[in-house]
Amino acid sequence: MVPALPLTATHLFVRWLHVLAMAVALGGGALAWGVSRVAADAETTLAVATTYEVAFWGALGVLVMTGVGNLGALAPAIPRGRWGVAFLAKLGLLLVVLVGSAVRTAAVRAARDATTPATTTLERGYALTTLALVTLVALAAVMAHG
Amino acid sequence: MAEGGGGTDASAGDSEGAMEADDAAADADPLLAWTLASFHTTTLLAAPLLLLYAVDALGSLLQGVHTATGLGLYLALWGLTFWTNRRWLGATRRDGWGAVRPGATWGSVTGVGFLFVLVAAVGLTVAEPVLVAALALVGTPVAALVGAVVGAGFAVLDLLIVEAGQRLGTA
Repeated sequence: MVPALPLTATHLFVRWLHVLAMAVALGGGALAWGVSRVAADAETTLAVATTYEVAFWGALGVLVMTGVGNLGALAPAIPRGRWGVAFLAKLGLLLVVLVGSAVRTAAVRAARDATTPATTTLERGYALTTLALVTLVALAAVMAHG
Repeated sequence: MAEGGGGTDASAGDSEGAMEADDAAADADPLLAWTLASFHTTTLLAAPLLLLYAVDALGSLLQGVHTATGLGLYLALWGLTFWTNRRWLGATRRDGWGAVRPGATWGSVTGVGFLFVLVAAVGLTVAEPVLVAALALVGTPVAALVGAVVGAGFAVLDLLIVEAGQRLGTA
């Protein structure tokens, strides 16, 4: 568990932005997954997917930026032990999510130009993304509350 | 990237080349440019963060950076990476090893550009012109080299990602 620290307005704003960015990434991922499951046509799936990809990369950029800001609030005594294990697991999973998501966006881009877009693959991609982001949130909860 | 030229013809050629580069960058797929820029920026931060924490050097490094300065530097790198990625995408058809050299060139531009942002931030903080000038002088070739290596590495990775996406996105 992270020791309680006096929070400044900047740190509170950074934390708020961090949570907001995760809400966009995870909520959007779940939405894109749901739409790709129930949408009758590929056009709707691809429209939602394209919008999500733009929002997702903005959210991920903000998540990493504010994540480092949150770490800075703990410096120089950044915890180790159980917290450190969760932190390393979170960063490792984040790198997997980054590479996997780059492939997913490239797949959406290819599907837009294809005569027969692979919507089932996109559906699986959004399911995996949602699952990975839920795991990241769970690791963040372990880091914050022990 | 345009090489330096001395004569009028060379200047005209450079100007024409710059205009062509602008046109090509404007044609680059904005979704792909945004994706790759964000992917590069986040990976460039997350991977070293993991290594620094593993060797217990993260706390002392972050202690020396003010939150607002850190956020500003990150946004500068993100914006710079978006700009150079659009140039890279405009300069290549992503059809193999021919894309790696422009990747190294634009990676080098990113490295030097970010160094200048860093030097400006240091200059505003310490107000020591000699130190800032020395940092810029010594840092420029190092930033260009590191940027070129990282840019070439990302170009290879990007080609693999786009190829994988192409296979997965079409039924």
